[in-house]
Amino acid sequence: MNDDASRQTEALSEATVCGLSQIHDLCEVLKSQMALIDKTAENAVLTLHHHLVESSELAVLCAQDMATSSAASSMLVRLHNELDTMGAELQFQDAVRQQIVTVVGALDMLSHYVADGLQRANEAKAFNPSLAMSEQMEKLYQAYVMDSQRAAHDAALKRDSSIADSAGIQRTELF
Amino acid sequence: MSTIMLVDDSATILLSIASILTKAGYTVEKASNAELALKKFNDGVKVDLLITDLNMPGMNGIELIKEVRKLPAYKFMPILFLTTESQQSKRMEAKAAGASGWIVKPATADELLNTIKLVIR
Repeated sequence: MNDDASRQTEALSEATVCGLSQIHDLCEVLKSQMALIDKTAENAVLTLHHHLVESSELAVLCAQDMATSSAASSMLVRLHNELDTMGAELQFQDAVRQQIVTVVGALDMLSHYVADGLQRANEAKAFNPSLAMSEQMEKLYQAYVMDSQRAAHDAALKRDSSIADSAGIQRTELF
Repeated sequence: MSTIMLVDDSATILLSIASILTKAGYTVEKASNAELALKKFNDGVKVDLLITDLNMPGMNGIELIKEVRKLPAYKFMPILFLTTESQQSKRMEAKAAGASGWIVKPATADELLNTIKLVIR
């Protein structure tokens, strides 16, 4: 290899290391940001729940006060039921939280993958992480906690999925 | 009215499900992780039904119910899983560990209360 080619290879290697370090930093930043999103959503849901409970109780009190007007009373009872249903719908935040946890886990995996590769690159002068990305991806797949995550993963990789449509899921089952 | 132990690491789930159960007349014992719930069982808490999440940091729901089933006082207590997981293999694992049923989150008040009525007699 002549001097020019050698210098080019060295510059390319330095650029790669620099790029990978930045990817590692970006992973760390994104993990923090995802944790912040999770906390923001949870706080909003908890506040919303508080107001729903207050509104629901208020509707019951109004219905009792307006007992002489059956139409108004009936509407308030319906309002109370609607507010209760909305309260139950807040469970969506738990699914979102778990999806965020999975993404944070994946970013953590990528961050370690890059850090490990960089460390080994210093010794071997080549980016050579100890665990193949395919193995990391399989670990990620095994860590999913809902079928919608598995289906999204399969769809992103354009591979056949054995995951049943969510419409076909039996939501309650007694053993 | 019966007492229900609700175990979940999500503050939202503890709040919204406890709301539904309390309005239906149940007394609710809450635990934000499996270890805390197990401590309450070891202390002899009076509970008629355990509703637990599956995936929690530390001890998971299946490990929790295996431990609870070892305690003579709770050998026949009904146990329901309330989880976002819907995989059949996980359900079978829960059944083998001693669970009585499975409810997929998010659960409506009707789904939850109707299933509870079937397991608490």
